[in-house]
Amino acid sequence: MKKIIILLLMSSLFVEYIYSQNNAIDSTLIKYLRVDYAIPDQPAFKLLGTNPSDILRPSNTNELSAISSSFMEGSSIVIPKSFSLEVAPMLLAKSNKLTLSDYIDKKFLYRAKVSVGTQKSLVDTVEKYKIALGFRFTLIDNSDLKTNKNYINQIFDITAEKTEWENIYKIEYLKIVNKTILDYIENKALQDSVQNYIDKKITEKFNENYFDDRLEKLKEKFKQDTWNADKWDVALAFLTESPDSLAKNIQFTGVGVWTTYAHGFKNWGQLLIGASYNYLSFDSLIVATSKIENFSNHKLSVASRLYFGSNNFKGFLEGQFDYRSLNTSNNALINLGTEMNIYDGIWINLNVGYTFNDVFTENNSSNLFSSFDIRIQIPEKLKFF
Amino acid sequence: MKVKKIKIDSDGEQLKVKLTFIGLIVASYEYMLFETNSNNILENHKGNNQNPDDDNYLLPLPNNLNVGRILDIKTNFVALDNLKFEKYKITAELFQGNTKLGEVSDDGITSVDSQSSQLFIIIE
Repeated sequence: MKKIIILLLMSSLFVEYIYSQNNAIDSTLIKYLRVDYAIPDQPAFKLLGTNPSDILRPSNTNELSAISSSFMEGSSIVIPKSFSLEVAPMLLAKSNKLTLSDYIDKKFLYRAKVSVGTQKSLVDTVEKYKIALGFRFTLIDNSDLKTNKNYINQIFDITAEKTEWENIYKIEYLKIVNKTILDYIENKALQDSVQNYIDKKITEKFNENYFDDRLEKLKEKFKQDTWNADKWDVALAFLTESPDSLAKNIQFTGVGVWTTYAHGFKNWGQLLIGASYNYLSFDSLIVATSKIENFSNHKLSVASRLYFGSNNFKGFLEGQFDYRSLNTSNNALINLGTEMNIYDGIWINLNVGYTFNDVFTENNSSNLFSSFDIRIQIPEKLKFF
Repeated sequence: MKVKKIKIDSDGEQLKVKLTFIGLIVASYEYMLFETNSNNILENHKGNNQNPDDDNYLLPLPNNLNVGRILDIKTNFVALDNLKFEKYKITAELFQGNTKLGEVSDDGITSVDSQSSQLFIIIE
């Protein structure tokens, strides 16, 4: 667990270093098509039980993201005890050979994601390690740029126009200096002169960075239009537990299944409707008999969450109802919170809510809960080369 | 800029150029066939990487007239979202019938900036 945390922190520092270096080098950084959407829940992280909310937020198109939580113990900030990483394995493995049409044809496979989560917890003064493995499949994702024909066609139009003007000015200059295309190929100085001429003519005709600016504006518009686009995910995760960090002692203790549909309202809101089933098995010491007995719990829940605001700063309100077989109880939850994009690639989720236990009996009770997550993905502005 | 000289068989089958675009990029290109020792453009086609099936072009007959001509494929492209370290490769292959005579390609790593590629084939 410590190694994972150190790795995460080192990765963050490395990303920050690269980002700051590139910002210094390239002040005209253009980030046409990378969009920083909120980082979704991960099935493996969800099954670790770090948050009582059962709704699994649909994924975005990022190939890699991480979540870490439990930063606070009382009023102190501590090293997080839960960590989860989600990757799109097909996208990572095949991306060097992938074409746009391949992706569009097999988008179901390329959008599939695998997550791994770990959590160290203290149960009856005994430290236990939980490890969860999750799989997520995206059936609908209208925010995926790679399959958005309208957006891609607009990019085609801009890049085609740029290509056409560059060729027009290239040939125009060659005619002016009485050189042929063969001279251009063989003469580096001529190539530089042609490029200078192209840049000068495009700036005169339009303005400096005309095409790049159009691409940037298009991306911004797309980001605002699609942060709440319709999505539908289904996910499955398995939970294992070990009394120590040795893999050989791992035991299967649970499974979770989720489905969530997200529907956008204009550019201000998004409604999530989800259902889930969780099975958990656990051992507990019975004081009366001094014996350890095994218990299991089946939990069915339905939930809905409404987001409102903009991509970078939004609030949410959530309601949930669940049934638990262990104590045949019906329970509810209300939850409200906020989601903020505090820095490129870094999101903070803050939420507070009440759980209502046994809502239909006289023994009902309620508990306050809160959580604070930091979610990290590859920054939108990151430029390595 | 990448340049390749490719020898053809003047008595062979008709020449064909096939363009391929590897990587999650949105690419628009312009394909031009220049007359020998001239800036006259004999053929000019515009396209993109949306549909790989329409990125093939036949060169005019007879084949011997193509000797000395230059193919210029200029591409502007941008990488798709959140793929930071992906490779791209743009290739122009010259075929005569089913025989591949040669190819020229430009590869690299995608960037957040728009990128361009220029391929030339000098037909010999």
